[in-house]
Amino acid sequence: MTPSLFPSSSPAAAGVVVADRCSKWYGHVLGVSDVSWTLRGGIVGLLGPNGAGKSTLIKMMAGLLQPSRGTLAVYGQSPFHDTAVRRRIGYAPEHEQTWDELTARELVTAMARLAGVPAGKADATARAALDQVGMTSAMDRKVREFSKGMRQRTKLATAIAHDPDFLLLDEPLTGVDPMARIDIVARIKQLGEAGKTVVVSSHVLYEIEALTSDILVIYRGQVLAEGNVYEIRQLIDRHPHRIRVECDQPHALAGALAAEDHVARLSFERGAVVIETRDPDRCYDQIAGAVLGAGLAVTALSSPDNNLGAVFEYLTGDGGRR
Amino acid sequence: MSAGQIHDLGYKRYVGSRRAVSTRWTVIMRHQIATAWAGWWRFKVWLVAAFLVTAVSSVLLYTLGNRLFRGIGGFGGVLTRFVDGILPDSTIWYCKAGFIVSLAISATVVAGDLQSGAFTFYFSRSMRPRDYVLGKLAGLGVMVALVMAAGPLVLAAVRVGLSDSLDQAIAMLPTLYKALAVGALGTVLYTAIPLGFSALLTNRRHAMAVWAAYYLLVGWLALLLSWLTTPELAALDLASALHAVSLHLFGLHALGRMPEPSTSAAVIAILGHAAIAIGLVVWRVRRAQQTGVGGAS
Amino acid sequence: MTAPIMAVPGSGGDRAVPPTSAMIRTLAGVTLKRLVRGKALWIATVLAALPVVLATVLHAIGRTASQSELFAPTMLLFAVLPALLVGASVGEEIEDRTSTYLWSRPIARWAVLAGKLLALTPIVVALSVGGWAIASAFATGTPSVASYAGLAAGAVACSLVVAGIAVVVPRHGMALTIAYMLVDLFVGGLPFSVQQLSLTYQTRTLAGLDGAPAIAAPLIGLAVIAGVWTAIGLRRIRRIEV
Repeated sequence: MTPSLFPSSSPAAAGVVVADRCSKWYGHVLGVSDVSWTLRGGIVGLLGPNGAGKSTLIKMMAGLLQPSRGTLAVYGQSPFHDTAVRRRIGYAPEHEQTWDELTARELVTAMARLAGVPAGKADATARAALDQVGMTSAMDRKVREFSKGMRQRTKLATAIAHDPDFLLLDEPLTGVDPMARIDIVARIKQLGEAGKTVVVSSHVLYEIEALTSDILVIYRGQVLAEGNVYEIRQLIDRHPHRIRVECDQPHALAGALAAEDHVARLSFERGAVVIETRDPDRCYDQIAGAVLGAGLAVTALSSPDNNLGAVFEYLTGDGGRR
Repeated sequence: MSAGQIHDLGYKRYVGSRRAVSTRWTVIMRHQIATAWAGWWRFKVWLVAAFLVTAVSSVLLYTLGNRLFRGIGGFGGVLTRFVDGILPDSTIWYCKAGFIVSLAISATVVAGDLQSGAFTFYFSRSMRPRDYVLGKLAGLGVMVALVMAAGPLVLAAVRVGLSDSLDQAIAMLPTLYKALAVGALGTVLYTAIPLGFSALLTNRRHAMAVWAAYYLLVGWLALLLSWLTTPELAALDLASALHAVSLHLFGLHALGRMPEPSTSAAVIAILGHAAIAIGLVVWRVRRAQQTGVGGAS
Repeated sequence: MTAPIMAVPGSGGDRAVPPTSAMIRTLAGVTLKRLVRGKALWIATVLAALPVVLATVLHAIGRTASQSELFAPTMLLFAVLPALLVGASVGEEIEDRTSTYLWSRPIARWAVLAGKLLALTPIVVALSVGGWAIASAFATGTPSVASYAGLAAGAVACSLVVAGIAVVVPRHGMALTIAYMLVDLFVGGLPFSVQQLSLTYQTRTLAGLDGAPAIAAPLIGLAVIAGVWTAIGLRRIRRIEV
């Protein structure tokens, strides 16, 4: 057995994944560069444009690639070298190729057995997993007959069948129709609620946004940001936060806020004022005060850039410079 | 219904010059050449093997044709005849390299495109089946010719260049077109026939195996049966057929008891195989286009 | 509709990694199932029947062929059958990246190769020996036990060699395997001691077709050739990244 990469008493051992100055090259092409990151649990969205290094990082966590430099440990072990730790990992790759000659049930049963489920329980396990991803009616059809969405569900079933603690889902929603997408998102959320650690990669922001607010942004092989999306948004001070207030007297509200030093810009839309501020907490307080003081009738209040899309754009917009 | 209108969605239709439809096969040809050239194991290593055959044969031609060597050896005429046999006999070795090249680049083409769904890309553009077939044949032909035709041509040039006198060199000039003829026939053999096998099956590995089995096993069976029945049957062993054409063009015959088909039987066998193979490719590509793998009709 | 998440039957403390032998058996079963449902097995069966076709034709025209002559196409089959069955299976798994499913499981990589060989080698042996037995029965009468043993040992060794090549060069493994076997046939036919490196030569010797049958030397020869390629394959498979 491969010795643990971290002593059990070290803080690093507490993480599900601990990457320490981890880099991966494909010849001269850089996949991941000098990534140091600790994943302690929950659902994490792995975000980044195409070619950013998301799949490389996921494959290293799944034990398919080994770091060219640095270390990456899953539950304290190297997943590339340690066979046993892979028992706790469930991986759904991004590509569609599977053993197409098999039926979905045969495929998931085989995968469950190879993941260590006893032969006597493997079939029931596979049925349960396929049932969970909504493939009950198609489980005895051959995979080669499946649509892209059905393949995605089957891949998800192969990943969850052996009840892993740590799930790696590489672009699990690609090619899935909207109804199935809602269903799969709900399943992944349930897995997170059940105490599983889930890493979901995507370059489609609203997919991740529907799943979690914890993100890791990869850009050009490097970690650009990590943590809660709203906290990250707070840290981006170069871009003022936008607050849109729909009310009956937008100009009066603007007048009350115009002299404040944290207000960078005021603009008007039909029946609304958009405030750009460098201190959103103070601004919200002052909006509340102005509304109460002037007796304004507010119909809507929103923060159009306090979401994942805006954060991602801010982070990657200028080549990742903040 | 309102009058037709175009909404400007920011898309600008390409208005530059377009390649004539009649020359679009050259795009496929160039792509095929680029694909075959990429990597080391697909083509380059076998080209090196063919180069080695040419180099070794050239050294033999030079050494055995050298006057001094002939004088020391004292075999004069015998050695001269041996030298004349080097070029046609090298066909056997070029055939081996050509066969492996055909396995690696020709026998997988159509099956590979079917497997990967590439026909969708071809026929969603203004591409016709004939453009595909012509482009693939030309692209593969260029690559195979580098192995099957370039080597014999170089050898023929060496043979002419090593002549004792200008008169002899002029007399030897037909060697060039004979080598070219053998090279062309070999190119047809290792381009069109494996391409036909690639159209026979929809899995590229299966296509490769069936082509190998046909070439090696059916060829061997034909050779054995021809030995027991009629020599013309040996023309079904494609390598033997090409070797026989090569020998006959240079006025030589095979040594030993090897069955040897006539030139016409050998040429008919190779060209007949090639014609059937091209027919198969055309059928498969049209079928792919009409059954919705492609879009255009 | 989203159903409540349910306990997966396979869970509940089954955290121990099962024995590798069970994994190998599972992989062998899957490999066989895939083979039977694909075309490769049927193509291989047709190819293995080619010596039988030859024997039938010879029988029909009232000619007989020697055991040695009949053995030659069987040797040529060595260039195709293992490549089609073993080489394609191993190569496809790596090239099509379905190996990502296997290598993210708690299974040693060598076990993947072992599972495939366990399923496919007996088929290569059965097709080679079966074709030879039927063809011989038609053309020359009952072949010797040594010829069966030689062919079987040769088929096993050839499967191991092909598996090694397929792991090293998955995309071009088939063409390289056939090229390797052609070189092997050539080397085996040379009248020099270098022929000892030839798998087909050792097979012929073990089968007793090149004179008096020998057992120890050709068996060791086959084991060494197969061992070298297996070692290369195992070394490479440990490092493959997909």
